[in-house]
Amino acid sequence: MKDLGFKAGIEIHQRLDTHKLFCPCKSQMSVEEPTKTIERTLRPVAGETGEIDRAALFEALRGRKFRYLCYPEETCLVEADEEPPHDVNEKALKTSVLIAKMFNCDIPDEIQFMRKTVIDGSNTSGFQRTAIVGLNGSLNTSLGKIGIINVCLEEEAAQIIEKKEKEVIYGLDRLGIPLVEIGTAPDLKTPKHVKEVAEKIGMLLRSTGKVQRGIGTIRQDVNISISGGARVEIKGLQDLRTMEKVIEGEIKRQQSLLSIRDILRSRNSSATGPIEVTSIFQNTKNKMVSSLLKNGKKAFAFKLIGFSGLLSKKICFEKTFGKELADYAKLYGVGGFIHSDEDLTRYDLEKEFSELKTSLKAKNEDIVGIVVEEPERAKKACLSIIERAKKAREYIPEETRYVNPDLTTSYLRPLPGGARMYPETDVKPIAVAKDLLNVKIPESFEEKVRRFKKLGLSEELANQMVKSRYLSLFEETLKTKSDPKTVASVLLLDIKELKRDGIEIDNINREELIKMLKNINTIPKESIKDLLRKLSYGKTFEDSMGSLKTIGILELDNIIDKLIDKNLVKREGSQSFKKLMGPVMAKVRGKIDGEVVAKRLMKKIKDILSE
Amino acid sequence: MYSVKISNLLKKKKIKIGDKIRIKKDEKAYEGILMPRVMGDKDTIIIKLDNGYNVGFKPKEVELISKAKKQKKETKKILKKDPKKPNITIISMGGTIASKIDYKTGAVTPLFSAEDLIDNIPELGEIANVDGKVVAQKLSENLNFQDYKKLINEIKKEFGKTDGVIITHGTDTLHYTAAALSFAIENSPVPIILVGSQRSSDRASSDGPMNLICAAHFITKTEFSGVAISMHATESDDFCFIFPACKTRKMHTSRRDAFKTVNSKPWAMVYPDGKIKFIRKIDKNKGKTKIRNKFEEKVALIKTYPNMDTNIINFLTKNKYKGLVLEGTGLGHAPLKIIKSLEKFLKKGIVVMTSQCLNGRVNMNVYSAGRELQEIGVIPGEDMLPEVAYIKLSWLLGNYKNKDEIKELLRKNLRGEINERSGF
Repeated sequence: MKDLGFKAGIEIHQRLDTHKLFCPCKSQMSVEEPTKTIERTLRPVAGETGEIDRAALFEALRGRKFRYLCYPEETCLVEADEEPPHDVNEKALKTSVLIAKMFNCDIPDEIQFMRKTVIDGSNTSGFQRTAIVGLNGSLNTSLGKIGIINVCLEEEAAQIIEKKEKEVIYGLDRLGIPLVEIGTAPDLKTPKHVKEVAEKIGMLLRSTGKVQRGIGTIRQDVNISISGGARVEIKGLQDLRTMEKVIEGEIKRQQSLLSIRDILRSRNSSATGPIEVTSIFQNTKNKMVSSLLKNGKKAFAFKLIGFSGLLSKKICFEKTFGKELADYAKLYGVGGFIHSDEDLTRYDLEKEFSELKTSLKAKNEDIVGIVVEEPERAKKACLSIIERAKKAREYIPEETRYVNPDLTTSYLRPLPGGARMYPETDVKPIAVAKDLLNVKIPESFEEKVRRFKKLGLSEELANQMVKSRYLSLFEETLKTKSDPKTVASVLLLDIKELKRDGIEIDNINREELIKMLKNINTIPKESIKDLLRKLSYGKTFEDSMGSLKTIGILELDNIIDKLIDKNLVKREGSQSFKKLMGPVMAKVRGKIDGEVVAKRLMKKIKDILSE
Repeated sequence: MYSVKISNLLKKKKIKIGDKIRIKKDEKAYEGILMPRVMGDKDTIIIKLDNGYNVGFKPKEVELISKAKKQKKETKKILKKDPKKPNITIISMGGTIASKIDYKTGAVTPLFSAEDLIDNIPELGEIANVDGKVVAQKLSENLNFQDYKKLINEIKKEFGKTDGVIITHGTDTLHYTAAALSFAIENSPVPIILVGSQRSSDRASSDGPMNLICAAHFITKTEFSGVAISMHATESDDFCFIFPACKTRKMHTSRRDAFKTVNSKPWAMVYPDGKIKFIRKIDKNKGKTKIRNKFEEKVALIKTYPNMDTNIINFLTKNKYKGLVLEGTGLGHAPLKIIKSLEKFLKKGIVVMTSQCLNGRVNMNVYSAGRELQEIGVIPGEDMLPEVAYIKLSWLLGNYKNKDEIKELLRKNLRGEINERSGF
């Protein structure tokens, strides 16, 4: 990785487990139907001249509609941008400062919320509210200390529900959920290191007990570059298990693009078009093309000079350079393009393409391709392919990309320029008072693992427990006399096993489970799973115990008294235990813990022997 | 503004707002651009970090890194007027429809020149030739009758040159100004449309530009002449209502569709693409334009309420107030205990009764309280909005001498402020 000049930084976004940042709405994804729809447009905001092409931006936004869905418990006038923000959520603020301190950050004396301009519609206001709560932090990792640039407290954006050509539909339930953003310096050294840091940060966040858990509640964006390549931001890596592979894929992609670049330079490549070529395809046998043309769509062609053989070249896993180019065309709502580097017999388009080649005066080392769509869109799609193809011999563009299901990535948008921020004047600056700083840093997971091991848990169980969703429940039962080892094995092993058997573990009432764990010392080991099964049917702990027909020590002693053969005991001494345990257990199995039976039986034997 | 302590610290190092500085504190240093102190603790220095975020530190020491770069003056495009297009004058009374953000300093500057307006709202240039003027730069709650006078004079200057006037205005008292213009400018030859925005113009979601575009469409595409208001009809950016100047009120603190007609209906629905649907028939003003811009200062608007103190009325009498608009309860009632003090006030002054119900008409014949108020000379304000009655009374007292004539005019519809019939 060193030779590659691999550099990476990671940005982690974690939702906090409290109500929304600037209003009392619930921080959850709604399961209800939306109760209201609001339709809005956004306009470019005038900033410094020259930074963006305002005319282009204006055109891009013109006629573009955003439809916002409002939900009963998750949307109020604040999310709808119909009311100024309320005071900042104190709990979220405290948690964010706590997190900043956990990463050894400096906490400023005053925290000021900023408006970060966002005009893709994901924020109804046209900006995201965000504040730095800590800066200049650090984190120890296996490959040394890495820098934490800053920790921010910010609003989650609205979620895209549907994207149409001129309209995007967003759900306002997600908008405004408090997020903590942790940004590392570009200090990460290998794909494995990136994963380790992501995991470590995730664990630290979870150790606060104040963050949301579950799918979508934590997101990683990774910034990667290699020498000669480009800085690329990969958005929304939700699954840590696939993180390494995605990063390796990106390295592969950049390496492949660099070698393609060299070939293109040697071939003096270029690209031309688009030209309308509908007439060539008018009588095609290809069903897809002919039906598109019948529906009034037109065929537009482009020529990629010196690209022959390259479009079918794999650049990352199974993804070809041709597919990569198609990503840019897809932004204009076209399905993709057909090109001469493909097996045209499959499409029944050989004849047309040879005519196309002649008409475009394409040479053998050139590629010709077509897009069939409405003229405006087809032209724009062709232009985007041409533009990207021209860049291919120059450099790898800096981009924001998203992860595909096959772990390749696709172009999303150019890298955002410098953040366009100005103060959020509707939220008072927050003077960081002593009580905000006076937070107790929670026990880290490493410390927890050590503590659990002291309580008798194996290394494996202790490690599993700190990551488990039953962690808080486990901690609660530690306050009782229940045996920690047994409780841990119930929560981590027995429950897992039952789940595998198809038992609806989630139906178990938490309170009943706690009752069971508090009484775990009196429950026969053999009955634990049976009991859990009963709880999962919605039974109370008491009812389930009753139906187990357990027996007490007194009853056990009576049974032992009846079964014990005094002569045998006297004859064989303590060796008689082996012969007696079987018959006793046959009588009481499942009604009382075997260990207890053994103890009582041993006691009885000793009593007889000392008579 | 920073505290004296901080200001001196900065002065000593010759540091000014916009300079790049280094703050030292607890053996650590932070670098950024010095920001102005608008709100918050005056002993805390705010700097903008390289990544755009502002943070505050209580410094031990401050160092200058580099002076702010002088900003280049922008070369302004000169707009050419298209003789085929209508002309619209946009007058600012403090409401900002367009503004510019300097992301380096965080400063938001309102834009008023025609060039800036067109640059920000290109649709305007497609609709008309635009001219921009500034009369006041005030929060609308601070506007006074002098400002009204200035505005009226400025509008008068435009008559004959323009096809319509748009006034950008803070929304809080927009409906007072709308009423004032209605009374002061009789038979306006051109439409005069007031426009506000409920979301500030620095954000991409501002409602202001659409309100302005709809006003421009309404001016250029209809026969309307007179005063009206153009604001969002719903919480969506779908269409604007053109509201009648004297029958409209801000009814929500923050929503885009805060403005509602009371005892009336909007003139029309105007879509940002220029489509117009009429709700009421529009009559073109044919009478001679007459402008009377005086407003009497000694007029009060008071709400009545249970346990009200009579001294509130006595104060007005003692201070020689000439007019009083009461915002009574229900059909136009006031507590019995203030009747005596009202009687004293009425010896010299005029009292008009309106209702805090807003919707509906006062009727002071139904209950004894109303009858008694009428007997001492309180004039029922029909279905007038209290704020409109206040402006109307101030204007009548400013421009008419004869008390009986004023009383008669108060009950007569002059500018659409009174409906004779109460519709559904």
